[in-house]
Amino acid sequence: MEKILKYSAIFIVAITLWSGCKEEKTILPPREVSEKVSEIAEKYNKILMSSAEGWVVAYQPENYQDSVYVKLKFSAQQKVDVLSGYRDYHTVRTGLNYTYEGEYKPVIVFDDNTIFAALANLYNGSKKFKISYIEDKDYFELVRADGFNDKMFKLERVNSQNSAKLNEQIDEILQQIAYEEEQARLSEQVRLKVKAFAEITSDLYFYNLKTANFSAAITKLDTASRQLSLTYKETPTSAPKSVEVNYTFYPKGIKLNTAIAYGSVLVDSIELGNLNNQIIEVTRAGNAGTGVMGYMNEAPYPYTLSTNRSMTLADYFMTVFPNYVQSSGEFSPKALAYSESLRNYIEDNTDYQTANRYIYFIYAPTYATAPKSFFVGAQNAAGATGNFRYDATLINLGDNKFAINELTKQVLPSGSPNIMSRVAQYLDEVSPEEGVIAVPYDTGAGYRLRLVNSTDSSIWVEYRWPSSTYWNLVFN
Amino acid sequence: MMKHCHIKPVSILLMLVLLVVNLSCKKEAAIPYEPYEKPAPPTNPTDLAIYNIQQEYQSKIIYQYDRRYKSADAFAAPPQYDLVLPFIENVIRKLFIAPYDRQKTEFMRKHMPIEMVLFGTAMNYVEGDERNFTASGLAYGLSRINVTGVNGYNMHNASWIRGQYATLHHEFAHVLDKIYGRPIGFDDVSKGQYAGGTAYNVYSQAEARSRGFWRNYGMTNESEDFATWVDGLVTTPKDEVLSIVSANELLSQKYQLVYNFYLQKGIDIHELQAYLQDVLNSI
Repeated sequence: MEKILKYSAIFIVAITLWSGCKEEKTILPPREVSEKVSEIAEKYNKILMSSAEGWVVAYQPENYQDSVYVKLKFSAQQKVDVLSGYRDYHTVRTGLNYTYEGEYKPVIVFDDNTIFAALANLYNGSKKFKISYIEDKDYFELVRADGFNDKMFKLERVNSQNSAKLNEQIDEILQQIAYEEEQARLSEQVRLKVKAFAEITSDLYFYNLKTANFSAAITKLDTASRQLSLTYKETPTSAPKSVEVNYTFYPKGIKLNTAIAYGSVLVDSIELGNLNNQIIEVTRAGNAGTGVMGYMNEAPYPYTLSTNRSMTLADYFMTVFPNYVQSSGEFSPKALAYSESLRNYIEDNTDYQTANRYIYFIYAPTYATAPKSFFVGAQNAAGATGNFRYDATLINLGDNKFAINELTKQVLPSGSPNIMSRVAQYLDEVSPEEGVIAVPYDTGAGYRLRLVNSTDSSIWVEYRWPSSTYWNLVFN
Repeated sequence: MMKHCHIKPVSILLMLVLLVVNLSCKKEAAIPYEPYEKPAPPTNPTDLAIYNIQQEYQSKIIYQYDRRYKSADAFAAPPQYDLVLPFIENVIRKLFIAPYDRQKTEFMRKHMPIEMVLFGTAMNYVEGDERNFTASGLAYGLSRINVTGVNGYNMHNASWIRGQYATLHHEFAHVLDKIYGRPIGFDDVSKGQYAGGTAYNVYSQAEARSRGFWRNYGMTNESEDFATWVDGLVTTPKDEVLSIVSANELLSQKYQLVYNFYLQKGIDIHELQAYLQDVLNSI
């Protein structure tokens, strides 16, 4: 008994919850069909069923630009098989229902799962029609029964003309589906290509999209949310702009949902070519020409002073900066290996140790005391500072690059052997003839200077500015 | 010698009766039967559209100006002829007939007023009359609606469209009121709260609402009260209506009565509003 009570209580609660969750539905009075209309409907049903092939109507809802051919094959129990020239309804749907309404005239009403209901919802059509049989011409007239207009549609027996029209529409749909499948296949290939591209990792410093007329740093490529973030300059002397755009795939590449547009440049899509190593070809980027996307040795644009956009970071270092920079101790892995090799050389070949002091300095050309020089700081065994100082040829190469590869004079700490050729080798390793690119690095508490090898950007050395006067200067 | 012939009076009387009977039985020529011939449908598109609506809905749309269709102290211009057809097709059919017939087959066949008289302008009662107001529509019992403002026809003007259908459904509410009577109890909800001898427009909207009226014009009388509720419901989204009527019990009661009045006839008035709103949104 206790169990019965328990289960009854659960049942009552379940029923209560179920009824409480039921969607509110408006109950309208039942549809009315007069006896007269029923008789006519019965007669019409017989005629409709008399066509073994069925009937065809070219139906046009209010907001649809074309007529949709619909074939209706009526059978007993007011069932109808429907085939239409409208996408997703272009295969036969069997056993759908239709009913009659009306007190004065028969109104044929097609069910909600028919093409008529779909078109009614999408294009302001109707699923109920006043129907009348034109006996001498053997067709039915269908007129929307909602009074919206009095346009008449002929429901004719299937014949070669209306069959051809219907088949033509269905063929077009099938062609469109095949085309879309092909496009989807190609788009999928693009998706995989972009995914593969995004998964590339590299030690190269710069990750860019560069074409003939557009160049940007790729700051984010999120293939899950399909977002691409770019930072670019409209001209070399512009301030940088950052954008985050969603993209979609299309057979040739990606479409940016928000185009990047300025001046005469429009980048609304990026057509992608072959993916080679760390670079993917850009066969077209809107009207910005061809190019590449990926890891590379080139900066996206010259970094310039925020208060004077015509002053690049390299120009500033070479022509304005009156002081020296010293290495922060941050190196790229490759640069670190070169540096460690030099450290070992110094330790092995001189009395100077690097355990407590091992640092590089670069004196800028406008530094009063020892301009255009590079030196390596160390200590001797007694802990006294010993600097290996070299006069260097510092050349401003323009385009935010300079070179420091040629040593002209050596000033050694006391007792040290000549290590000039070894230091020159180190400089050659980190700073090729083609120069280093001056890159600002934001620590969050001021900027540092990174010198990035322009022939192999995976080699870079970071320098610290001597005071807040400099590290607070914004180059970007 | 003449022989007198004696005819009895009875015989004379009999002869006279026979004569009268004979004369009265004389056959007249039969009146020939001429079967009714349905006149051919008009050929011009405007009259054909009117004809089709008359055939379908038994409602005649009148656009020819006739002063008898308005009161003597009112001024109104006739509709421009070239606007009549688009008005019929796009306003009367799509904004007036279709909203009902979409939901309930043949609703308008049963309920459309017998005549709809079109005027180009509003109906102005302005000169020498203490009434001094402008009417956007009029309903005469269940048989006739005067529709005004046809000359402002512009299916790209949401304000005009909304005004037209608000008026049409308002006037049509009067028709349904005459056919069925207002919902039982409707007239009692705001009993004693009507404007009476006072001009309705001295009452603010807030005051009207507090007394259970959709808007102050409804305070004129029970009939306008009902019709203003209808034009309010057909121009206001359901959520907003529910929010408005939750303000007090009088509004809530009238809303239920009006909503159910239509629902019982197969019309969900909120669905009707949504359809009209879709039309507005699509322009």
